[in-house]
Amino acid sequence: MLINILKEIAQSNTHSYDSLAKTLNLDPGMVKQMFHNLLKLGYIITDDPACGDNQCDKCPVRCNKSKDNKNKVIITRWKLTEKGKKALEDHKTM
Amino acid sequence: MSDRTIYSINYLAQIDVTYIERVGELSKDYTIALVGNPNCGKTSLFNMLTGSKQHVGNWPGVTVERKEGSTSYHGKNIKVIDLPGTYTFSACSEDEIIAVNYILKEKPDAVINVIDSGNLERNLYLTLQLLEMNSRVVIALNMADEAEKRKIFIDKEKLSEALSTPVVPTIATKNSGIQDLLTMSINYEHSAGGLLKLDYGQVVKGESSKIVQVLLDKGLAATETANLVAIKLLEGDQYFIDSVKLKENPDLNDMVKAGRQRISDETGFDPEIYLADKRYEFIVHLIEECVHKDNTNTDDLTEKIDKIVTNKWLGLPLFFAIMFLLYQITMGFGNDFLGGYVDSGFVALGEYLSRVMVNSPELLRSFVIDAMIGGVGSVLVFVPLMLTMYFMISFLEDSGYMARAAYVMDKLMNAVGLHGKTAVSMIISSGCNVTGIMSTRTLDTKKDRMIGILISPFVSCSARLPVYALFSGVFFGDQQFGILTVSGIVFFSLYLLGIIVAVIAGKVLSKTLFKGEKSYFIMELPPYRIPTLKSTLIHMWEKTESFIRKAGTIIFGLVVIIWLLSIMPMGVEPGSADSILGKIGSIMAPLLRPAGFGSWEAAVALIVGVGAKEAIVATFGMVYGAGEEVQLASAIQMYFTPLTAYAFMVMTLLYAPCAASLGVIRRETNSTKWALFALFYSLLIGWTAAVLVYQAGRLFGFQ
Ligand SMILES: Nc1nc2c(ncn2[C@@H]2O[C@H](COP(=O)(O)OP(=O)(O)O)[C@@H](O)[C@H]2O)c(=O)[nH]1
Repeated sequence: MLINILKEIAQSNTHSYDSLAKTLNLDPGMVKQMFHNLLKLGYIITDDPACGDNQCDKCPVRCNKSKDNKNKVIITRWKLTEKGKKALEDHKTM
Repeated sequence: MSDRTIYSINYLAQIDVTYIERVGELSKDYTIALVGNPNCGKTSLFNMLTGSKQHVGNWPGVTVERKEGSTSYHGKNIKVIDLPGTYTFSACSEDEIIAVNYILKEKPDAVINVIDSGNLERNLYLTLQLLEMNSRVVIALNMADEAEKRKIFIDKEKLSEALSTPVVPTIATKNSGIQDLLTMSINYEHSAGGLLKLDYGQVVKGESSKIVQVLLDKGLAATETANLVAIKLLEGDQYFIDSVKLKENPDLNDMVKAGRQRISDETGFDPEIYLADKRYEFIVHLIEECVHKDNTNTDDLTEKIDKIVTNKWLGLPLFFAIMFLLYQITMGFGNDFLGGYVDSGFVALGEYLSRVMVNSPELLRSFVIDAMIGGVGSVLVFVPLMLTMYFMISFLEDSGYMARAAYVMDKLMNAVGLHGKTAVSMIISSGCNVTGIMSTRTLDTKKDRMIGILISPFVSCSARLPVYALFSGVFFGDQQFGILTVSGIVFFSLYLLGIIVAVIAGKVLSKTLFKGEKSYFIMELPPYRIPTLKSTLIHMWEKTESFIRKAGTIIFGLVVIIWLLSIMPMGVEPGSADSILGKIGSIMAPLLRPAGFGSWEAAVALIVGVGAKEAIVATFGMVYGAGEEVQLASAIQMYFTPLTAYAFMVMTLLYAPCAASLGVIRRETNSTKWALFALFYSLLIGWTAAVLVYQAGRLFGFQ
């Protein structure tokens, strides 16, 4: 399952947890958890916060990150690490 | 799950739910630890359990908050420790190490795993990892109310059975189920069987049993935990690698290495991926068995709206329809209706002042009437327009819609091969290009950043609106197209053009100047809210205030400069073609002739407009107002036609980033070269577009 997520990231196919979940026939919450797990295991990295520092006041998007909604992050960008790329390569050559 | 037999979980069919009342045997400091994902309601539960008896400190050596409290059970004191919220126990971050360490080393008497019942799929991974490490776990199915509301039914008995551990539904915010949870945590007698043993398949089993043997022989692990340690070593878990001092045990190290290699060879996966996958498979299986979701038609409102608003086909047209409507109202109500009053106010003020100042020195009168009223005043006339637009924009922002707009635009950008994140900076740019450019700051690849920076200035920001409003007011103001105002349509066409040019430019830049790898962009949409009138008004005013402040500072400054240039050299007729200003304009004017607006006034206005786009209006107000007693509108009508006016608006939209944007481009790219590039390439694009509009228009027979 995790390898499919790496594959999707490599191909930049979908753009939300929900649509990715649909593609992989998994629960969106679980997909999110999988991203966390892959992050912890060093297969992917993220560069949160995705927006410029201190731009929230001027930003029209009013995301979960703005003042009244502190904890959550709305835009997260993920990339494969070298380890992630290698895992994918090794898997393909099997 | 196709093959369920792979799970040989130790199903405890015979859970004995009769508690043994253990109050009497409780040792003095019975401790309960709380673990769970972030946002599962752990803090709420902790507060309910401990009330005011809390102590907040730090974990030794780190800055992570340590919360400890106490509660009582039949007169006995129970210590409650709130461990940091985590999604996994892979022990990579401080939080996780603290939690794992506490559970394994401090050995609390019970561990309560708080779970968000509405999100079992997300929460259960941690649960499995916990059950693999600790045998005294009680699960709190928290947010039971939310789950019920969303028609998620969880078979507690089955879940409890499958995990061999008690499960108690709770609603932390309503103090419901907390007492049961406490009773269960203290009295439940867990089976002596110990830790949860998932079936990881034949290879892992073979490798781990070899390792277990060595661990036991060398006394590196206790009997109960040896299997856990072996699995974790195979998984490459740093915490366990350190705790058994793997590096100092070369033969064990070799064995682990070989084991990992065999798992890779046999399964085709890294061991950590393979083992994690097994857990996920188990969770999927567990959910199938224990959870029933009856949410065929229970999507809440946000979901329903999002289905339409972010729909693949409808999303983008809907976004543009909303922007279209917004400009219709801005022009119809804001400019024509409200703006009329302010306009006549300024006209009256101008007339009044020229009467009063009849005997004042010529220069002073020119400064006050031409520069202040004609120049700065002609910008301020558009305050009602801005108020109207900002009101609607603030409403959209506060409602959560703009996040959807970013999402939809993101898809568009992605479809044309640009980074989705540039969509966000484009949305931000439609307020102000400077902020938009700055928002590209954390785009990580140089390619994406540069593209974001270079295309943001094409997006029609609010500083351009006064120019559009002036010209479309003069030429299209009284025209209607059905119930639509033509000037509103003109506004929208320019907004759309800005986005189209930005996308095309981005596409070209990504094909030529910059090449690089893509990264993956995921957006979590906030729920919709109905904005309060108060917050909408506050946000509207914040924006309008900065518009007015800009008129009073930057525009004022620019007006003073051009006014000085327009009265020099001494003796020249103020604001005439012979003034320095006129001379500068006359040099540039021929270049603009192919676009249909080759007057020196237009040339000067465009030059000043690089300082700030609103200053274009101020310049026209000043130079056309100077000397003669003509209104700005009628002067514009004399020098422009509808076609040249439109070409001029296109030029204004595209021709150059304003000074502030250029400054930010220079700062963000750390290069004057790029700022100059941005200036000249947009000049070229703006000029070409304006010429195309004018020449094509003429071909079709417009003037
Ligand atoms: N409806 C409902 N909301 C809850 C429940 N428990 C917590 N919450 C809410 O969920 C949010 C997160 O709770 P919090 O205790 O801060 O979560 P933590 O991050 O796990 O500490 C808060 O807004 C709580 O009010 C519950 O049982 N039912």
